[in-house]
Amino acid sequence: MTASPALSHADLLPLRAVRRMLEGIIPPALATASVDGVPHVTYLSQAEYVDDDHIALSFQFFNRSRENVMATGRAALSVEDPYTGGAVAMQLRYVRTDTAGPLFERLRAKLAGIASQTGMEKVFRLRGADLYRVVEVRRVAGRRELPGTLPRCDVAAGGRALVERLADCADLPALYEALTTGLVRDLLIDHAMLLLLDPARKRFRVAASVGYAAPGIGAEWPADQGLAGVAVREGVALRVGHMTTMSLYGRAARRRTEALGLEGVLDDELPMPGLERPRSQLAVPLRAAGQSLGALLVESDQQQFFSYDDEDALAMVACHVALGLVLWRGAAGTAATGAPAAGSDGVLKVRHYARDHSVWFDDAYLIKGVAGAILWRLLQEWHRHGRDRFTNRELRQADGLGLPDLQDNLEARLLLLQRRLDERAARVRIVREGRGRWVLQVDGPLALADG
Amino acid sequence: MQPKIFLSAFKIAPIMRLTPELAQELCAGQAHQVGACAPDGTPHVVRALALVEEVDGRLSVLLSSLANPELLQAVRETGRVAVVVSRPTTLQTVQYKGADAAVHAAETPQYRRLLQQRGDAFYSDIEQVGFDRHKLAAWYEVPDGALVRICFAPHGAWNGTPGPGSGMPVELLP
Repeated sequence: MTASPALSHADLLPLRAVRRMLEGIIPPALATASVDGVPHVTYLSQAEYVDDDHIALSFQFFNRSRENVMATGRAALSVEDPYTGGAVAMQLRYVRTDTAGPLFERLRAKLAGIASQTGMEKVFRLRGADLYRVVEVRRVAGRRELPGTLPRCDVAAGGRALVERLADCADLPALYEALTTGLVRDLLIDHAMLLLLDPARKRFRVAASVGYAAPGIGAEWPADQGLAGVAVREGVALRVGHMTTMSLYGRAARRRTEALGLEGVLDDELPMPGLERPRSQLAVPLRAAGQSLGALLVESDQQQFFSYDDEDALAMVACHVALGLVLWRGAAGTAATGAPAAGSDGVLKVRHYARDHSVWFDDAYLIKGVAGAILWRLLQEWHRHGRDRFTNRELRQADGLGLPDLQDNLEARLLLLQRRLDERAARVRIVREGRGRWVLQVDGPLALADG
Repeated sequence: MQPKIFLSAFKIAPIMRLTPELAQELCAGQAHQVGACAPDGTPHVVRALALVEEVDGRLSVLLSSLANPELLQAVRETGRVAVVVSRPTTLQTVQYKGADAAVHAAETPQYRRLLQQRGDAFYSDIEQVGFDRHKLAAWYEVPDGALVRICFAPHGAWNGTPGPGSGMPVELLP
């Protein structure tokens, strides 16, 4: 390319220096040209920073731009800085189109956020992620740029402080506490939840949360839903800075559950924590020892709250959390699947919380509500008196279980409990012995703790 | 003789004009991007500031000459230009193209006044979608002597609004 005398090398910038412009606040414009030189300009919904030499553009429609790029391999991009009034022009070379994989999923998740903001969910569909090599980034000259807005905090320093907090932890409860405390204090992130993956049941479980009216510890969520689900599936951090409602994902999850005929399960579920109307979300996968262990999901009610720097910092934090999970939960490191995670002494620690009747096996949530209260009562009877048989009638007459007087659905609740114990393959099971009669089976030592 | 006949025919070809609706839309708050392609095939694009319909039906794209000198050079060398106008509040978008474009200085009170009017309309529109006009004030601050226009006769217009119908021709008047 012949340089014009009016152009200066001082206006050339590294791609990394302008990645904050690629947030989709102001749509970038793409210019292409046909083989015979006819220019064509179109707005894009987003451009994604990939690395210091590449960006990805969304491929949504077969159109003239697409035709031109496939023919010439060249494009130019005009990108505006919404915070300073500055802008850059990029020269691009087409590399390839991804129709699956991490890059595709990142763009798809972001596009979903944009589409939901504009009511275009049914129109916007990502066909592919077009990868381009950036051969030049040039500042648009002649503009009086404003100083950039200050970041809410020093994200790099905050991330380092949080990692140091995590390094001081000696067990999982301390790790969870350090994480939630540090997110708020060190990174000024007010809403977050740590989701652990149960790959066998394909569900997330909330292991820790901060900033929600209902903490929802132990609540479960289909692992194929929402930003966290995609982040874990693809093993990449995902960030949406536009209005994307967690409640939308939640409703989708509920519809799916209902479609599977599991309404009874829903009745006993803890409510998911989450902002009613998040404007920004960032999900970072937890990976260690070659496994996906879950995700760290952070939210804000402000648009564009999270930046590329947050993505970097939380990826580092998530790595330390994942290593802690592997260290203290064993190599499986997941949300309590398979055999019960008995302590090193072989004793299964069963903990009951009276406030919601949630029952936990070691550190893993099992069940709550009426079913949790029933299980706790049975275990107490077994522990104190050695009783292992019980009837529906005595449960209905027992105090403190929270059964309604009418339509108590006791049988359904017991079936739910039975299924949950079977799914967990725990050393505790209940087996129907006859009409209205059940047997509690305990295979190994238990340590019961209340509160 | 043949080239002469061609040039003659080209000169007397009627200029396509914008419909009243399209012309009116230009005065509403619009965002503009102008594109060109250098003879070596390098595409260029930069934000423009206004699209004005001249009395003879030609269109003038106003922009700063400092913003993208390579683009202006490409227009001078090829005569080809594409400009997209899009209203931020509705995303209603139209692309105009020309093949006889030329670059002219536009430092006249008339064009400066037009620039002011179009800037005001644009900022009013983007404020409705949550932008702060003060942060983007630099867009319309063209230094003295730097205001230029790319003037062309539109030979076609196309719908660029996202979604179904994007890419379809938009009717122009003969």
